[in-house]
Amino acid sequence: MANLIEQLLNGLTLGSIYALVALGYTMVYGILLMINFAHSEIFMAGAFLGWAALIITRSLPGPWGILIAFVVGMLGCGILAVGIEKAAYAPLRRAPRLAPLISAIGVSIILQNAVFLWRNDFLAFPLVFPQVQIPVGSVQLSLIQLVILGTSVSLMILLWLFVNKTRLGQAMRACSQDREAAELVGIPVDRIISMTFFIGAVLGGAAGILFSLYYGSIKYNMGFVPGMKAFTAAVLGGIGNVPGAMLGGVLLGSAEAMGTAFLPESDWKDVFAFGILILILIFRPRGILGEKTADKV
Amino acid sequence: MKLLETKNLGMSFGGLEALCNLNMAVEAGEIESLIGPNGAGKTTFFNLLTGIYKPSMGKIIFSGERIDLDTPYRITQRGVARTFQNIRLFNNMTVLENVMVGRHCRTKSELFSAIFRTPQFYREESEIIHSARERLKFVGLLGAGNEIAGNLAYGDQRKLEIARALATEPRLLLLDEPTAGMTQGESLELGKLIQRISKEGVTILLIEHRMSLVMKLSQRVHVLDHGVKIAEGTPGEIQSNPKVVEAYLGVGGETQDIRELGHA
Repeated sequence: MANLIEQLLNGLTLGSIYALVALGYTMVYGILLMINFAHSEIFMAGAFLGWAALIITRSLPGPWGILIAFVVGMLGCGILAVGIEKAAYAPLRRAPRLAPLISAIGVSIILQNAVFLWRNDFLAFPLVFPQVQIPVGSVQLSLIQLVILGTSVSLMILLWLFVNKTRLGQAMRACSQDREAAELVGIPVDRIISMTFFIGAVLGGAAGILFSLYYGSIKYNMGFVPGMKAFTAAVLGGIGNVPGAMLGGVLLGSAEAMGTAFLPESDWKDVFAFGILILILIFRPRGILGEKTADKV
Repeated sequence: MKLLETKNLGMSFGGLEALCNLNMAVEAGEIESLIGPNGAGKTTFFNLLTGIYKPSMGKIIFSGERIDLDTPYRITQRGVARTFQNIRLFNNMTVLENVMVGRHCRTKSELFSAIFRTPQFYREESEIIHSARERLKFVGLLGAGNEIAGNLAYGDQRKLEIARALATEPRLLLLDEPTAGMTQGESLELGKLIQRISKEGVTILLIEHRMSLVMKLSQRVHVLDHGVKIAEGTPGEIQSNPKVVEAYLGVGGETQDIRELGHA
């Protein structure tokens, strides 16, 4: 039983990272109806920026290094994503929906290859947090797991407050319900789109750093699998729906952990996750909390 | 004074000319109407005025300045607001939030003050809620502020759309068939609302099929047919204009409108 709970906590840890990344997919989809496939590279970029910041600030005492790494990784990703949006998606705003999607895949390939040219194998990510186990009731939780859960939950609460309690969040929701009508009641839609990319990427960058702190190594293609899982999580929760992405991430992480607990080989984890994706697409394409797709069109 | 003026305005989609060489002016402070058979180009005209379409030729001048190259939100900031033929509310947001969104373009607070909760932020926030409530009261929806917009009755959704447009503080309000789908009683009530808006100093341009309402409210009526302006004048002049009657008769299926045209 304790083992099962430990597995579940492992699942929740990974799931909260998926959720952070899934939010980026879902917010962009909510406004542009576009799957931003470059988002998994934002995740990777966050990890590399965080790594660079940690190496540069090695000599700083206490928590300063990791704090700076988060700031650099998150802001850097935000700026990168806004730049990508302006360069690769904004010119295609009136093009058929497939065009920005292909553009996103292109951006993804460019970013991966740019990093690949510089470094094509694993880089060790500094393990900032000592590997101590903290007893929680009858189970053990590692410090880094606590950090991951704490950081992602805080970020999600902040996002929730932003979306629901601020005027810019209100404008964002208006854009995601009817972009044209929003523009006609005086909302600068292009700025709201940039802001959406920025926020999604800030969360994605943070997720990249958390993920690297957990696994201890980074690589140019590290975004692919977590990116696909986060996309699955977003679809599971109902793409375009913010609470849905959070729920989807946590559910997917837990389901994966449970799957590994009962299946003989942990390699089956990914099969499990993508099996879920296929099942949702067949039986409930709008996801758990998603609206009927007709509303969106 | 002319608040809105178009000069040789034209719009074509591929080979189809939706509007051709339109010269039209709306006087400040008036209620004016734009009528014409289905497909005459009325909604296209609204889409041009609000920047959804860019004209193929000609100019649009609002309050002395050219606006046809502006983005839709800039045009709204300049003081043009509209409602839609098929209601387009933010259905999942509350009634009050819908109106608050309309205030967005009249406020300054940026991300910075929203995050750090500066005093200015709170001042603006309460001002927005206050003025949104005022607008709801104006259209008679004050009690419904916390309801989800999509759950409102049809007629109330129309009123909410008007309240949202008013929240942008327009000088020119474009109403696209505001009484479509309403009962006679509801449309009379809406007519009164339009007159009250006009008394607040807002110029109104109305697209409407209900001729009784058009004739009662408007100071001037403009008639479009197949993208061309065929007549312009007071309601009395329009009713007796043979070209107008012909345009309506020629289309068919608008028999009710024609009868109203005769009796109004």
